[in-house]
This record gives sequence, C-alpha cells and structure tokens, in this order.
Amino acid sequence: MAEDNAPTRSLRLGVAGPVGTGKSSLIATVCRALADELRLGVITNDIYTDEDARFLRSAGVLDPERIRAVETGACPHTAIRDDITTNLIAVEDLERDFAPLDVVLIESGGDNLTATFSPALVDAQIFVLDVAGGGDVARKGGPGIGRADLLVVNKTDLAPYVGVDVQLMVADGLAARDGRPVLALSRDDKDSVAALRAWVLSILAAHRAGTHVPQDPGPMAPHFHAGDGDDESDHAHGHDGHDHGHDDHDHHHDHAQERAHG
Amino acid sequence: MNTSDRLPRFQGMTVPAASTVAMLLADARLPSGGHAHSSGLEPALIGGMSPAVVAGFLALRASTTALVDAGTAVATMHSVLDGGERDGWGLAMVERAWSARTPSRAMREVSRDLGRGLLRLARRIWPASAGIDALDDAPPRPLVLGVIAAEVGMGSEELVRLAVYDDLASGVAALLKLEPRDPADGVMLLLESCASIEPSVPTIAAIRSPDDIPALSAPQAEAWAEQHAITQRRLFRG
Repeated sequence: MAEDNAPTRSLRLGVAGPVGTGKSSLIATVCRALADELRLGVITNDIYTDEDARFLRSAGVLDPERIRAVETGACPHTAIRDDITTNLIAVEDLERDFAPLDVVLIESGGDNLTATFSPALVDAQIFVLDVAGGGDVARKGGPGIGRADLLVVNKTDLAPYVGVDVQLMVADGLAARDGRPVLALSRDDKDSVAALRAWVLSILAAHRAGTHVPQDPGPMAPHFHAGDGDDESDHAHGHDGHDHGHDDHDHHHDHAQERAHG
Repeated sequence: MNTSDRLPRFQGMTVPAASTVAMLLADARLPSGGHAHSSGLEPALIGGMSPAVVAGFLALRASTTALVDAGTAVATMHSVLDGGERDGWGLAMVERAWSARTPSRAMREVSRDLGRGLLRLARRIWPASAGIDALDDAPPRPLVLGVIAAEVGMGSEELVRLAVYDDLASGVAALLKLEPRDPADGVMLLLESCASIEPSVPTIAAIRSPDDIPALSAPQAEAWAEQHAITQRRLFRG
C-alpha cells in the first residue's frame, strides 16, 4: 500500500504497544541479532523527549546516525495512523541517506491497546505486551493484539516474580489471533531471540517476494457484523463470527461485546 | 446561488471550490504533519514566557512572522499566475525574499518541514499542477500555500487569512497540551489574534512582487526558536 517502490525501498516494520512493554529493548534485540547481515535503520516516536532514540544509540547496536527521532505533538497515535507525514518523511530520508536499507524499524510512542500503524506507513507490525503489565492483557483484545503481524509477550523472565503464567498468556494471544503468531520473548532467552530473528527474516523474504500484503489491524474496531459488507480485513482474516467462545473473540464483534458486557 | 458554474474544471472532472480547499488547508486534521508543530509557542514557553501573556504572543506572531508568510504566499501565487518566472520574480526569487525576512535558521527549517509535508499531500491531490511541480522537495510552507492557491483560484485575501489562521491555530492547539485551559478560551484567543491583523489584510493581499513582502522580524521569538531546535525535551518540532 505504501506508494514508493523505488529500489531503495526497505521493509518498514512497525513496533507498537503500551508504554513500558519493551519496544525499544525489542528493537535493540532485533538490531543485535541482525545488524551483521542486514542494513538497518530505526525511527523512534517519543512523546516528551528523544529518550528512546538516545537509549538505542547508547546501546551500541547500530550506527547512531541510523537512529532518528520524530516529534509527535503529544499525539503518538496520530503520528502512526491519522497523519503519518512526519514518520513517512523520516523513513524516506533514512532510506535515502543510507541507501540501500533492508529494514527500517519504526517504534511508536507508547500509547494504549488501540494504537496500531497505518499500512500506508509500515509493511508489517509487531505488537508488544509484557508479562508485568498483567497476565490478562492478551485476553482483552484490540486491533494490535488481534491482528498485528506478530504479537510479542515480552519479559518472560519476569513471569515468576509477577505471578503470570506465560503459557496461558500466549494461549490467550493465540486464541485472540486466529492462528497468527505469538512469541514469548526474553532478551536473555536465546531461543526466543532466535525465533524473533527468524520471524523478521521471514517477513523480509515475503516482502521482497511480493507475497506479504500489508494488513491494517484497524483502529478501534468498526462494529462490523458478518454478512454486512465487504470489509477488507474481514476477508483477510477469514472471519466467520459464529463459533467463538465468549472469551476468545478476536474480531470486530468482541469490542462491541466487551462494552456490552463490561 | 448556483456556484457550480464557477467551479474550475480539470480533465472533465469536478474539482473542489477554492473556499473548500482553503477550509481543507486550515483544518487541523489535514494529514500533512502539522500536528507536531506549535507555531513557536512551545519554544516561547520553554524559553520562559509566562503563559499569562499568550494572547500577546499570538498577536505578535500574527503581526510579524505570520504576515511575512502570508505575503510570501500571495507573492508565490502571483509568481505562478502572472508568469513571474518570465519577469524575473519566479519562485526562487520569492523563496529568497522569504528567507531574507526569516532570519532564524531554526524557523526556516521548521517552515520547510511543514512545507514538505504539505507539498507531499498537494502532489497527491494535484499531480498535474505545474505550479506545485515547480517546487523543490522541501519548500517553505507559504510557498506551498501559494502554489496551491494558484492552482485552485483562491482569492488573495482568503489566502492571507488562511496563512495566518493556520499558523495561529497550530499554536492554540498546542497551547491546550502545554498549558491546559478551557478549550473555548483557546478559540477566543485564536479569533482575537486573527482579527488583530484585519487592517493589514488588504495591503498584504495586494502584494505582487516578492520585494513587497514586509520584513517583520520578531527577535525574541527567533531566539526561542533557535534554542528549541537543540532542546531534548519537547513535544513539538517548533
């Protein structure tokens, strides 16, 4: 969906999720795992500062000049969805200045469960939760949890200290996602980092092969009902809307129901 | 009144009225990157200006920087419409005149950021516009407003008010995030500061040559803008 298909066009990979779930840390992990074989760039969307950009620069995982921060005017969700201009320009500048880049990672400003990237800005997106934010969050659903290309349950090493059952949280995520992948991650768990690395490489390969179609997880769900129309995301996700249990709803319905029952 | 007869036509397609485009460009929801800007207000507040004098700040902005931009937009429009290139006051001359009247480098860069976002959108809307096509990738905001105005046949007074309103409205929107208050107070501030330049509107709207763009500097605001460009704690780009 993005307009520019010049030869320097990278895979633009968004990383969204609530504040403090480890988005910057995940990006640092991806850089550490892939910087030797891929040409990477990073855009951060901080709210008050360029703290995230500075954290990533100081992490030493990437040439500091390849990490740039943009301002969001206190509207992090606007900057990745309603008005993506500033981010698009930052990505294009980075792609131009360091051409060719393989992947540009765009970190959203920490927002809430409803903030997801527009497919006009990113080709694929990761939504990050963490165990310390509560074991029930994956069950709460929302566009990022339900329909991001990858859901990460981060900081699994903390699970014993916060009384969270990682396997249950992952199972909740899987139930909410119609089979889309969920990854339990700890930066100290080599196997999980390897799985993250493999996922990024697989998306990059699909992007290059033209087989990956950017999906819009959607903003707040349009309160769609099966058979009402031709909503694109509905087709893409094979929505049936009939046979889900109440707790594992993953589609447009569940928001309406949450409100009705909440 | 049936206004459809006056609508410009493009390749057989109906195009929006100039007033509709003016409203579009003044709309804070326009996806052109404006939401990350405060029209100098955050630089001023971080620089130590008391929130109690925001009305004065906006009035000063209206009568200085905003009028330079408005005059530049009008000169740009005429450069496109009147064949200014031929007469030696083409877009490059307009841009030079604007730069000479915008002494703060930080302010020029902020304006180019805004211009770039706006131009990106304008190219999508008017892909065949010669005036829009004539701009570089990151022109100052008033040049982009001017070429769009030329494209859609906007009146020069409407263009002046648009250039001023859009600038001040960004500041007022930012104010609600920086120094929260009743949003209705912000609306009053905006209307008052826009009204304050009404006596100048005919003069600015009558500009043809870039030489006639007024040189209205605001040294304290420029100093704040320079400082803001290097701060690490800010919500807004400028």
